[in-house]
Order: sequence, then C-alpha cells, then structure tokens
Amino acid sequence: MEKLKYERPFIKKLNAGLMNKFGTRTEYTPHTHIDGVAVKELVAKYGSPVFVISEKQIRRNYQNAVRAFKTRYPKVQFAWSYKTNYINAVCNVFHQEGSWAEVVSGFEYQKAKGNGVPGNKIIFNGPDKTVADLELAINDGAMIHIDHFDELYELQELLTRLNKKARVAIRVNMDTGIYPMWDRFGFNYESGQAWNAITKIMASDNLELTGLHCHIGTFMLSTAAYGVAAAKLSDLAMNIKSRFGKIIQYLDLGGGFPSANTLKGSYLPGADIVPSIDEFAEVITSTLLNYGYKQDELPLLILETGRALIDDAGYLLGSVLATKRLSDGRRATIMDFGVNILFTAFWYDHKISPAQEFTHHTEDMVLYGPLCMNIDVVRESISLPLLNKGDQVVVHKVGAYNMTQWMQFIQMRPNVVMIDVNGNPHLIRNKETIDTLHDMEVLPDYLKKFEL
Amino acid sequence: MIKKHNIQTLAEGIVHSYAQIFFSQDKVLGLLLMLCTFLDPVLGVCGLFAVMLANLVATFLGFDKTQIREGIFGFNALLLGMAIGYDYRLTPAFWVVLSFAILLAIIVQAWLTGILSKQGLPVVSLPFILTAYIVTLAIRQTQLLEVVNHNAYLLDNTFFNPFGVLDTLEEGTKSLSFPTMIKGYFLSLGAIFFQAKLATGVLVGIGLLYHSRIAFSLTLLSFCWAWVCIDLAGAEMHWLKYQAGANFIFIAIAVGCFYIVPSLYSYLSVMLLVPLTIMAHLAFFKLFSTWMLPVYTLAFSFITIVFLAMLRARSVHQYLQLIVIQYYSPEKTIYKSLSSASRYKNNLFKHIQLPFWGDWFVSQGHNGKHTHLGDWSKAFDFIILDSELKQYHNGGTEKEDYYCYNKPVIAPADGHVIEVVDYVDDNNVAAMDMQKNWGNSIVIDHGDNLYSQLSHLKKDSLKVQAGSYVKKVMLLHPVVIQVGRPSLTFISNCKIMQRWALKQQTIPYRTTC
Ligand SMILES: Cc1ncc(COP(=O)(O)O)c(C=O)c1O
Repeated sequence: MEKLKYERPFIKKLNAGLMNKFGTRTEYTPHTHIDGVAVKELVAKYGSPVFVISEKQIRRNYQNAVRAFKTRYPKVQFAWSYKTNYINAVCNVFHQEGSWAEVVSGFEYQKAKGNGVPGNKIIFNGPDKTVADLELAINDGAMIHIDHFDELYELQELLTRLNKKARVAIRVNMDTGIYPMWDRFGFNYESGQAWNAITKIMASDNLELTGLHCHIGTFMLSTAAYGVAAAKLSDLAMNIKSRFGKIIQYLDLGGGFPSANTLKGSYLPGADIVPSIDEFAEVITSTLLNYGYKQDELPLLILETGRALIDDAGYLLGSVLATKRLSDGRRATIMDFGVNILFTAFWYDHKISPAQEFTHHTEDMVLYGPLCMNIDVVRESISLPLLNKGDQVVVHKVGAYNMTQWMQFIQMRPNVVMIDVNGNPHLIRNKETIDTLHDMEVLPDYLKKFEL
Repeated sequence: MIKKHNIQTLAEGIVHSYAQIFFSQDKVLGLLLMLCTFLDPVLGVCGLFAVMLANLVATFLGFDKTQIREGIFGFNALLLGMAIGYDYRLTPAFWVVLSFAILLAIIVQAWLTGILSKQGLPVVSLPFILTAYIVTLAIRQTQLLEVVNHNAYLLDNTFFNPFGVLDTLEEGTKSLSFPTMIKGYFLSLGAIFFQAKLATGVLVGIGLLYHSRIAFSLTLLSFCWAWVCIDLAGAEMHWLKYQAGANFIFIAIAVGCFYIVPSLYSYLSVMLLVPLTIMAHLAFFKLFSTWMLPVYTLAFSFITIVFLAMLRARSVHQYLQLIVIQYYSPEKTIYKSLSSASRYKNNLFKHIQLPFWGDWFVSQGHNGKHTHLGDWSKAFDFIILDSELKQYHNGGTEKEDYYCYNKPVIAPADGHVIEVVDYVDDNNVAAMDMQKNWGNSIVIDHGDNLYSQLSHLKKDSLKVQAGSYVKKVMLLHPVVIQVGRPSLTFISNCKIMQRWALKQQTIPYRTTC
C-alpha cells in the first residue's frame, strides 16, 4: 500500500452563518496536466513560477470568434492587439490564423514589422506616436488612427514636409451608456468634435480618411453598448458619404470583449455572466446590416479583440513558499508569484487550483506573493486544500495583459512556455537573470570602488 | 357560343399537329402535310378526324391551351388515326373504336409526360405506339372491325378518287430518274403518312426543305448513312424504303437540331446514332414480330430518349448543348445560341454564390442518403462546424446552441422572389416536421428557367416579399433554422409544369464561392 500523504492538523472555525446559495464552493479539483503535459514536469524543467500558454486554446478561441463574425457579416478582419500579449510566438500564432496587428507604440510597431506583418496590415493606435514613428508608418502605408488634434496637425505638417499621403482613421469616443465613459482617447462624438476632425481631414490633400475607429472600454459586460457604438460610427460614415461623397472603407470597433474571469466584487463567477462572443457579434453585425448601407458599400468590420482571445489560453504555475497563521487566526499561504508577475490579480479573483491530489479537507486562506510589500496579495480569501511548502498550484486565465504588464520588482520575470497543438512544450521567453539587469546599467568609473 | 379566339386556337392546333410530325410550328408546312395526307383520302380523313377530336378532348379535359395549340396532343393522334385507318374498313364501329383509341392516347401521353418531363425528357411518339399496340391487339380478339389490305382497298374505291391528277402526278415523279437511295428517302418520307407513293414523299420533302435547310440536310444525310450502313452490314435493304426509314429521318431532326443546338457535333451525333437505331430497330422488329405488331418508330423514340437522358446526366455540358428555349426552328435556334454566346461570353452559367457568409459545411449533398432522394436529390444541406467538428456548443439541446441558428442568408444571384413561406414554426432539435419538411422557404426566379430555393429558415425572419427583386448577395435575412438542415436547391422549370411549386424537381448546378 502506498504511504498516506502527510497532512498537517488544522483548526476550522465552525461557520454557522449564512450559506450562499451555492453551498461552500471550493475550487480545488486538482489540475495536474495542461494540454496533456504534467504540471510537475513543466515545473521541473522550466522552474517555478512559470507561465504556460496553450497554442491549441488560442487557435480554438480565434476560430470561434472568426466564425461568430464571419457567418454573420461578409467582411470581417481581426487585428491582434499587441499590448495584450506581445511575445512573438503568441503574436505569430494569431498571424498564422490570419490576424492583422494592432499596436499602440513605436516599439509594438517595430515588433509587428519584425514579425513580418506588412505595413498596410498594421493598425497604429494610441495617443503616443513620435514623429519618427509616424514617418515610419507613413512610409509603410500603415493605418494611422489619429487620437487628438495635436497629432492631426503634426501628421499634416509631416506629410507636407515629406510630400506624401497617409491612410488615416480617427478614434471616436462616445456615450454608449457605459460608465465610466472612455472619453480621454480620440474625438468625442456627441460634442461634434469627431465631425470637426473629419471635416479637417476631408479638407486635407494628403490625408485619406479610410476608416473610423472606437474602443469603448475593456471587459465590457453589455452587448448593447456595441450596438450603440456601431450605430454611431455608421452615422458618421453615412454623413461622410452624403456630405463628401466618400465611402468609408472600414469600421474598427476595437476590443473589449470580456474573458471568463471573475471580476473582483462580482457575486457570480465570470463564466456564468459574461456574454459570449456570438452575442456581441449578433449585436454588432445586425446593427451594421440594418443600418442602410448599400450592399456593395458595406464597410469592412475590424475587431481588435485582445483579452477574450488569449486569457484562458494562459496559465501560471507556482509553488508554495511557506504557510503561516496570521494574528487574527487566518491561514496565510505565501506563493512564489505575486502581483509582480500576476498584475491582473488587482482586478480579478483568479481561479487557482492545486496541481496534485488532495483529501476533501479545505481551509479558507489568504494567498500572498513573495514581495516584501503589503500590496502583494494574490487572493484575499480563497478556499483551498491544505497546502504544504513545495506544493504546486495552477492559476487559470492569465494569458491577457500579465506578460506585458509584469514588473521586474524584487523578483525577475520567469520563463514562458508554449505547448504546441501536438502537446510539445517550447520555451518562448527566457527568464531574466542578473545579466538582464546588468546589461542595461552603466556604472560611472568613479563609483566602481568603495570601502566598507 | 364559341369565342373567336377559341376557334383560332383550335385551327392553329390542327395545323400545328401536322407540322409537329417534323418538330415544327410552321403553318405552311402544316398545311402542306395535311394536303399530303389527303393524297390518300381515307387516311386524310382518319387523320384529320383524329387530330380534331384529340384537340377537343384535351381542351375539354383542361390541358394547357398552349400545348394544344402547339399540336403536342394532335400529332400523336394524327399518327394513330392514320395507323388504324390504314388497317381497317371505315365502318361506323371503326369511328367508335378510333375515338376511344384517341382518348387512350391522350391519357397515356399525359402519364408518360409526367414521368419523363421530370427528367427533362420528351415522350416523342411513344404515346402513339403504345396506344396503337393496345388497340391492335385488342381488336384482333373481336369481330368488330374488318381488316383490309389497304392498297387494294383504295383501288376498289375508285369512285373515291376525286383527284384524277393523283395518278398523273405519281406517274410523273416515277419517270424522273432518282438514284435508288434518294428514291428510298422520298418513299420513307411518304411512308410516314402511310403512303407508298413517291409523289407524296417528294411533296413532304419540299415542305421540309421549305421549313428548314438544316432539318432537310440532316434527314437526307441520316437516311443515306443508314442505307450505307445496312448495305455494309449485309442486311436486307427493302424495308428501309417503308416505315423503317422514318426512324432515321426523325432521329436526324430530334438529335441533330431539335433537342440539341445544331452544330458539327450534333451532325456527328446523328451519324453515330444511326447504327444504334438500326440495331434497336432490328431488335424490336424481331421482338414484336412474335405478336405480328409493326414497330413503327419505336427505335427512334427509344434511342432519342436514352440519348437525351445520357446528355443530361453529364456533369460538364460540353460539345453538345441541350436546348433551353425552343424556337421550333433549327435556323433560329442556332442564330440565337450563337448570338447569346457572343453577347454573354462568360455567362453560359449564371454565377451563383453560396447563400451565406463564412465557412459552412455540406452535411448532405446531391443524391444524399437521408432526404435528397428522387426529385429532390440535387440539393445541398449546410451546417456550421467548429474546430472539433461539432455543430453546437452548450450541449446542443436548444436550437440556440447550434451555430447555424439565427445566421443571415443572402441571395445566391439576382432575381425575383416568387414565393415566400414564412409561417412554419421553428423545429425543436431532434423533432422533424414531416408535412412541411421544407420549413420556411424562399424561391427566387433567376430567369432562363433557373430557380433557387432556400429552405429551413427561421420563422418570421424573412426580409423580402414575393415579387421583390433581389440583387446577388443582398441580405434576405431569413435566418437559418431547422438545426443542421438549411438547404439550397436549384430547380429548372420544365415547360410542362408551368407553375413553380415547392417540392419541384431539382437540378444540379455549379456554384461559385
Ligand atoms: C485601442 C485598443 N484596441 C484594443 C484593445 C484590446 O482590448 P481587449 O483586450 O479588451 O479586447 C485595447 C485595450 O485596451 C485598446 O486600447
């Protein structure tokens, strides 16, 4: 007989209070494998913590989203939102599936170009584009989405100087019934600012208005908001046609579809309340199809979906550093990952599963990260089996924004591994070392010596 | 009171019935042929009686006026009248029997047309032959009619020869020196009207030449080739001069220029079919001699029908082009087809596009195992599959779970909406509506006898009404329902079925993406 696993003794408060209607739900079905590869094996080979990305899941998500839109509307194009996850291996999975690139900075632009995306399939968004960035984008024939008047004037000046033309769109912000309204990006629709910008562009010889763009928010839980957005952009497009006789080639509705994560403070788990991509697709496409475009003038529909396509393809594997009891009697578990690499822990109550078999006993606990900082809390309260030092956990749905917003603070960034569709793991980003730091630094000679 | 246009219809019907013998609607040819039948007054009367009665009965029974006017019913009756009149003495009983025979011929023709026209095939002279067999075999069992040797019988009745010119004419033509083969040809033309007279043949020949040079040249060519073939085969020659020769004359017109656009290839086909027709004729001759039945033009009817069926079954319609619109004139047909080919160069096929957006899969194609059977075999059912090849998510117990549910449907090509069914309740998953198994449908007339039907659509979702004109790719926004079985079907409307109806026969058609 196999030796029984040691389980430390624990004291549990008798909870006679209100039960929620789901009973005492726990999240502790062990998650021992990812796409057929054992978690233990991944940790042994690539260290702990480690990010793991499922290529199969990315492709599945992408194909589902494409199907949802393409079976409802004749012209659809996705553009991978680089900021969501710009590791080249990830981007190229999307590009292999047919996605264009959406970038918001000079370096993202360089990355997209470096990955081989042709300039005219790069959408250049964002408030911060330097003159050098703009010049590059102009020469590549990229789609430049203008964010503010200063950028519009700067672009015009630059084009006159270069004696060139550029394909541009404007980002429009609008009231879609959602609070808070993201009115800091682009030109406002209701106030007439957007129309003002359009008029200026139409009057300009070297700007060609090819599209209209909006991105009404992220993790949007309302499908109706997209109907409003599609209608308002269509209204602009129709007016442009009737006033200037110009047919707008594309409407870019941005990103913002939610993933199945649970937002902090949400009563129900995310998977139960977020609308599916099909529901968003239905609202957007039926708004466009019914808006009154002529059949051959229907604009191309561009989507910059980020989060919804990658979140559930990413896992974070980590290990228990220590367990301790806090002064108020709560159990605390300290993990080797924290908000330094799991930035989204600020917004989400991430689902976390143990990576090995356990008994049925569970314990409420707080999960801390490894930082010597009070903010480093992964989950304020979670019911997990009794964890011991060295045990592994799997954090789910971490594919979006973590591998771009992670910080190198106290700890270095870990390895990132992608499991291909055949179940073979590949290292796609090396963990940082002390050399990563030192390579950047320049120590003036006079500071090289000291005596203690 | 009979209205004037009714009389005109009947008169036209009579003349056209004669012209129809040579697949024509030419009134001059019709009148000339009528005249020719009266060169044997007995047969002339029998024929005319048959034609008039058949057209009246058909009108009375409520058959399509256009068909009656085109002589579709009359020509079979004409042949029948002459065939029976050839064999029996004209007693009162004879007229009664002939009248019933004509009724039978119409019934047989309606039935045969129903069967064959669905496959786009003609009945040619089958109704006449079948009816003649039934009548001949039946009468032999009775004492009702008196059999005569027709030629002798004619001579007996010299008083019934108002045309003294007749014999002079026959003598005159006989004195001309034709080669035997050409002589055989004219005798065959005459034999079509049950007359063994060269003069009749020559007159018919002149009429045919007047109607169409193409048809005339084809018949002559075909007959001579048959002559040569029989000669080479060492078979007996003499029978070709009589009714057997008609087979080669008819097949020449039918295949050479009537059902197929005349071309070098159609001429070539006639040449290839002649030996087959000889073979069929010899076989039928042997078979039917057991019962002492004449074979008439059975060989021609059989070969024409099977050959056309073969042409239709091809997946690529090359070389031989089947006629879509019948102009009843080979010259006009060839002109129209050449001019439309040059006007609509790339448009021999309508560019039909699939009626939806995105990637769909065919769940049941042409000749499918489940429901695409018989007349409805040329249809496509479409479904949407995900990367795991599943049609649904969330378990698939609700229709909303299916990817194909609630997806837009678009017009496959320009056309008029001619029928919209929008009231059938949506099916639940697993349930099947056996009565209205097309569900909500829309039918679009794309012109040139091409119709498309889109079925299994969501209730109350159709955006267009009957009568509206839709452009290719225009959103019809009926939405696909009946889980897993939205379908697209093409229908060719046969002339015989004038009105389009749901459940019409389907045809294969090429679609582009
Ligand atoms: C302009 C733009 N497009 C697309 C996205 C991607 O959004 P999401 O990840 O919510 O789909 C963002 C993210 O903020 C964005 O700013």
